[in-house]
Amino acid sequence: MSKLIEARGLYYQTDSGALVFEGLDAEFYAGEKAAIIGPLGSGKAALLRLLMGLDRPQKGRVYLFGKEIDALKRFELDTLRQGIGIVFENASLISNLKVVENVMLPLQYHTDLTLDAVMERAVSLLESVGYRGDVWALPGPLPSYTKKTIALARAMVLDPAIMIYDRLMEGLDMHQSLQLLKFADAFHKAKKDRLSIIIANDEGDIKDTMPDRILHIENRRLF
Amino acid sequence: MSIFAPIGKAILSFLHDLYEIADFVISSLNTFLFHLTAGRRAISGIIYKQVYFTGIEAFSIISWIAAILGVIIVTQAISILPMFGGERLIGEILVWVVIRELGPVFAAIIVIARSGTAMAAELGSMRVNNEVIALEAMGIDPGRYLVMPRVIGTAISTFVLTFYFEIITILGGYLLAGFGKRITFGMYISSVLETMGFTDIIASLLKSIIFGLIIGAVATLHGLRVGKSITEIPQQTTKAVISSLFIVFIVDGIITAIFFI
Repeated sequence: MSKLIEARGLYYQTDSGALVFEGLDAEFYAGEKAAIIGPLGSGKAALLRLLMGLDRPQKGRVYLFGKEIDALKRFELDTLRQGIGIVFENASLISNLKVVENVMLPLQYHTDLTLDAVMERAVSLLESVGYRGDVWALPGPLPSYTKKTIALARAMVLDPAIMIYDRLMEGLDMHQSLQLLKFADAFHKAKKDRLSIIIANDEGDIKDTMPDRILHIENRRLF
Repeated sequence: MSIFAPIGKAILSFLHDLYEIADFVISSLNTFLFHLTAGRRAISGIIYKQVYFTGIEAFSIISWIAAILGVIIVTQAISILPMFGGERLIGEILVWVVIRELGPVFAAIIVIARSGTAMAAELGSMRVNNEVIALEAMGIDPGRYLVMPRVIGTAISTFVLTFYFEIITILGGYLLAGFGKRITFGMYISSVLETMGFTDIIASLLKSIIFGLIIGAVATLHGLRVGKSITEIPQQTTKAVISSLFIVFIVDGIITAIFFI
C-alpha cells in the first residue's frame, strides 16, 4: 500500500506558546480507514491542519501524496489538495453561497466542466447524502446535521483519494451519526485505494465506523 | 520624550500599513495573474456580484448626494460670480472642485461607507466561521478567490461611480439651482467643457481607480486579519474604514500635487 500522508518529527507550538506536538510521526496508507482519537485540546484539529499544510510545524516534515509540503509552491499545494475531501466539525460551509453553490464550488473552481454538468453532479451528490431541502437556500439557518450532509457532498464532489472527517458525529444524535457514517463508509468503499481518516474525541464515537487502525494522541505524539 | 516622537511613530505606522497593503495586493495579484485560467468562472461571478453591490446598488445614494452637492456649489457660484461679472468662471469652479477633487473623493467615501465596511465584516465573519480555512482545504487560494475579485470589482465600481457622480453634480446642480437664473444652460455647459482639459479627466479617473483598489485591498486585508473571536470583526471593520479614509486622502493629495502643481 502506498503512503498518502506521512509526518516525520513534527514539533508544533501555537502562537500563544502552547506546545502541541513534540516529535510526532504518522503514516497513512491508500485503502485504509484510520481513526485518530484524542481528548478535547489534545491537538486533533492542529494535526489536521498540519497534515494538510494549512499550518506549518516549527520542526519536522509533512509529505502529501509523496511530496514534501514545504518544498511545494502555493499552486502546487492547491493542486494536491484537490485530492483531499474534508468535512469540518462545524461544516464550514461558505455562508454567502447557496447550498448547491457550496457543492459546486470545488468543481467550478478546479475543472472546465460546463455549468449544467457541475450543477447535475452537485444535485445528484446532495440527493445521495439524503439532502431533501431547497438547493437554493442559504446554509446559515439550516440544522447541524443538514449542514454536515452538505459538507459531505462538497467533500465528495472531486472524488478525492483522501477523505478526512473531523468530529463528524459531534453535536448529532445517534440516528444522525449512523446515517452520516453510512454515507462515509459507502464512499470509502466506492474507490479501492481511498484513504479515510476519522477524527474523534473518544473511541465511543468511532465504534460504528470499524476503522482498520486506531491512533491515539498522547503526550504530544501519535500512538 | 520629544514632541516629535509621537509624530514619527504615526508616520512609521502609516508607512508600515502602506507596505502591508502593497505586499498584500502584490501577492494576491501574483496568484491571480500567474494562473489566469484557474477558477475563472467562480472568480468572474464574484467580480460581477461585487460590481453589482458596490456599483449598481450605490447609484441611488450617489445620485442624491451628487445632486445635493451640485445644488450647493451652483447656488454659491451663481450668487457670488455675477457680482464680479464672472459668470463664465462657473466652469472653472466646477472643474476644479467637482472633477478634480470632490467627485473621486466623495465617490470613494461612499464606497468606503457602503462596501468597505461590508467587505471587512463579511471576510471577518468568514474567518471566524472557518470558511477561509475550508476554502484553503479545497485548494482554493483565498487571495485569488476572496481578495482579487473584490479589489477588482471595487475599482471598476468606484471608477464608474466617480464618473456618474461628476455628471449628476454638474447637470443636477444646474437643473435644480441654476435653471432660470442669469446663467443660461448653454453658457453653463460650454463654460464647463471649455475649462475641462484632458489632464482633469485623466487625474479624476486615475484617482477613482486607485481609490477603488485601495478601498478593496484595505477592506479585505482587515477582514482577513480577524482571528478567532467575533469581537474582532467590528474592530477590524472600524480600522478598515479609518485606514481607507486616511490613505485615500493622502493619495488624493499626492496625485493632485503630481498633476496640478
